Amino acid sequence: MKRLFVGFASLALIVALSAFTPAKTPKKENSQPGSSFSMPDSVKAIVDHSCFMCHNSNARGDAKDKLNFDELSSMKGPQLVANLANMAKMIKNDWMPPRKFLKDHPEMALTAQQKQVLLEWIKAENNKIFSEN
Amino acid sequence: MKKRNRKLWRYLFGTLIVLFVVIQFIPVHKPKVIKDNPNDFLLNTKMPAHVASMFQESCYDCHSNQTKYPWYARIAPSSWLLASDVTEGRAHVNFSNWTKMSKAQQIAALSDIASEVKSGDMPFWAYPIMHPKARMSKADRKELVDWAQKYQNEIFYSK
Ligand code: HEC
Repeated sequence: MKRLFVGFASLALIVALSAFTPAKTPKKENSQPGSSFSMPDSVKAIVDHSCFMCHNSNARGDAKDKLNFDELSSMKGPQLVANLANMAKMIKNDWMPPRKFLKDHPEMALTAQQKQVLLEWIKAENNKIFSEN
Repeated sequence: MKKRNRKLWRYLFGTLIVLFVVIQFIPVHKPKVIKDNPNDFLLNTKMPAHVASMFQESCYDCHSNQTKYPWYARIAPSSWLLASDVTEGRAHVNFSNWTKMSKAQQIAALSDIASEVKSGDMPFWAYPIMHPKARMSKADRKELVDWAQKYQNEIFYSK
């Protein structure tokens, strides 16, 4: 009887503990309360390498007025959809990073595989945004 | 001295003419004109008549399959310029393919339209010089921008 009790108690403890320890959810970077926008590490690495330099709040030039990765995570609805779809367009057409820029920095060009990762992520994000509204 | 100068001018002018004739034979890839476009934006979208006519007059030459090429589109070097402008314009957004675009693409296009027209970047500054009807007043711009922003939301919240 005592053994049974100890067994139950430890089982309960384990259940309770596992309920309170944060579950192993996939890491969400840039996620904001109120929107489920998320950029997985695989995508973030590509963006950081090939895009972020020109498209952040502190960048020089007017690229940040068209797309700003520091602001993307706080966008939602049609504005977020528009930004993501615009990215897809630029990527599909090989318009970004700008060709002139790539002459001096060929290592920043997107590979076919990187393009695919970005495009699949964009598609999934857009589907998510539409399904949430 | 004077005689020599005149000779030089004649020589230069002659060279230019020869050059002009020669460049006419360089092939130009002008985007094709397609008259029937069942997926067209204006054909499939309800909007105020004036907004529709602004799209038609100010955008459709470069951003649709219904390009109306002017006479100087047959002559190099202006033909080169037009060919590249229309190619690029259609690549950015082609209103003739509207209903084939995803909702996300339509929303992105409308958002671009609003910001380009608001900032005055579009229609491209040189275009209204040859196409006076394409000129947009401040009020015209506001009307188009307001409509594009409203319609963008409409698409987003439509099921
Ligand atoms: C060397 C700087 C630079 C890099 C790197 C760069 N961009 Fe850009 N980007 C620009 C500039 C400049 C503009 C504005 C161009 C214009 O207005 O014609 C721009 C515009 C854009 C736009 C808006 C286009 C439009 O017309 O709406 C998008 C979307 C974009 N970039 C996406 C990207 C993505 C995605 C990457 C990474 C794969 C990237 N950019 C990398 C400089 C850069």
